Amino acid sequence: MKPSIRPLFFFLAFATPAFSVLLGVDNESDDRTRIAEIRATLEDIATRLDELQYKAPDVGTTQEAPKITTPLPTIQIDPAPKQRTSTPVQTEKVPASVDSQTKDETSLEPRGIGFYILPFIGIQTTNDLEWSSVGGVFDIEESEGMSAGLRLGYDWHNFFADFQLSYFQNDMKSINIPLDFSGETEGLGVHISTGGRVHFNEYIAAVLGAGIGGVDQDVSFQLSGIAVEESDLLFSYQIFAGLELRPIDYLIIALRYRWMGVEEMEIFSSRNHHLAELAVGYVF
Amino acid sequence: MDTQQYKATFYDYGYQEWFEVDRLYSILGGAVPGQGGSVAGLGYYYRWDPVVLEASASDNYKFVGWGVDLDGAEPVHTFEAVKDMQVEASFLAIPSANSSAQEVVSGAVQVLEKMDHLTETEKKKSLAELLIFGKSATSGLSIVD
Repeated sequence: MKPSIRPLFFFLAFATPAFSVLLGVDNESDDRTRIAEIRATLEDIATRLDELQYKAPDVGTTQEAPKITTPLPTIQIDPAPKQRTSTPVQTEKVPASVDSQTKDETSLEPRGIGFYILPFIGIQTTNDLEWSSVGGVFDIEESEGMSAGLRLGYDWHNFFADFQLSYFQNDMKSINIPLDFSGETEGLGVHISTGGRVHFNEYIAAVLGAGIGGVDQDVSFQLSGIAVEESDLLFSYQIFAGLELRPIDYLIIALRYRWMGVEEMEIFSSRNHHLAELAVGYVF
Repeated sequence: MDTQQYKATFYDYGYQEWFEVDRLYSILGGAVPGQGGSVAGLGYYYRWDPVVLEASASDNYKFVGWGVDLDGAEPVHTFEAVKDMQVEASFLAIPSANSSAQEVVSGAVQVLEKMDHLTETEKKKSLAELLIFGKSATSGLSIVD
């Protein structure tokens, strides 16, 4: 055998685990052990080649290569999990900390399961509000508003349930009557929501949920200096979808789109809110 | 005698003025807005002829008063013809399933524009009152039955 083959085995001994990492080969918990076995096997082959080269006389390139009588161990590159090479190999002792980390990375076990508190803030728009006056129905256009709130809940592996307290506010922009006009809409909502979570990896998950509750809504405006106001506690419902990022244990950063419907009032129409919210919270 | 050049005249002590005996006075005008209703009794009259004007509202409209050379809020107005007159009967759209809110607003604006005794601020306030309460204390108008 040519001496140049030996570095090839050394290369394979160290490149194989590297490739397996780079190519994202399945990281099962005993992969490291298998890689260690393969590495040991390749080193064994390299050692035997060294011995053969040492024992052989000077061999010219024209002479026949010496025959290897000792059987070389076979390498099972892609065995079934329980198929092992019969050659005894030296296994590496993996520190417990490394082992636990490997298990954590490969099992997609989400971080932070338990009770959580999640304050949020966001921006929101609504559909046109309608005012049912004595003279007919008029459209009120509202400007973009803000929302803020707090979610208190519990996380399971793929599900969650929470209690949400939220506030929203919109300024009124215009009404289709040629008169001086200004006003605002604000509300305080309480919702109970539940939903599911799809984990993309240990850190990122998609969230989808829905909830029902009530909103104490106050709508008021001034038309040529005359005030119009209505306040009521209204049924409300919401659905939402978003992404959750958990960069470290106990920390949640969440982005979500929330659609919230609020029941109609006596003189004002129902409202559909479209909210984009950012939340940063803590998982106990 | 040239009766075309020299017309017979009488003196009206009531109004303290001379008038031509065969002179016809025009009592003309109409409804505001046009689709709001109609006015009966318009035409040409000799002096002292009784004139009876009657405003009739269309469906979903309400008569709110006379304007220009005539005052009052009664739909039937009786008087003697003693001069040429222009009259307008004002109608307001009553909110209904057949009328839009914009029709109500534009009708009210038209009527308020003709109320010269109101300032611009009072006209706007009156429009707001009509839409919010159905009645305006500022102008006296109403869009409710």
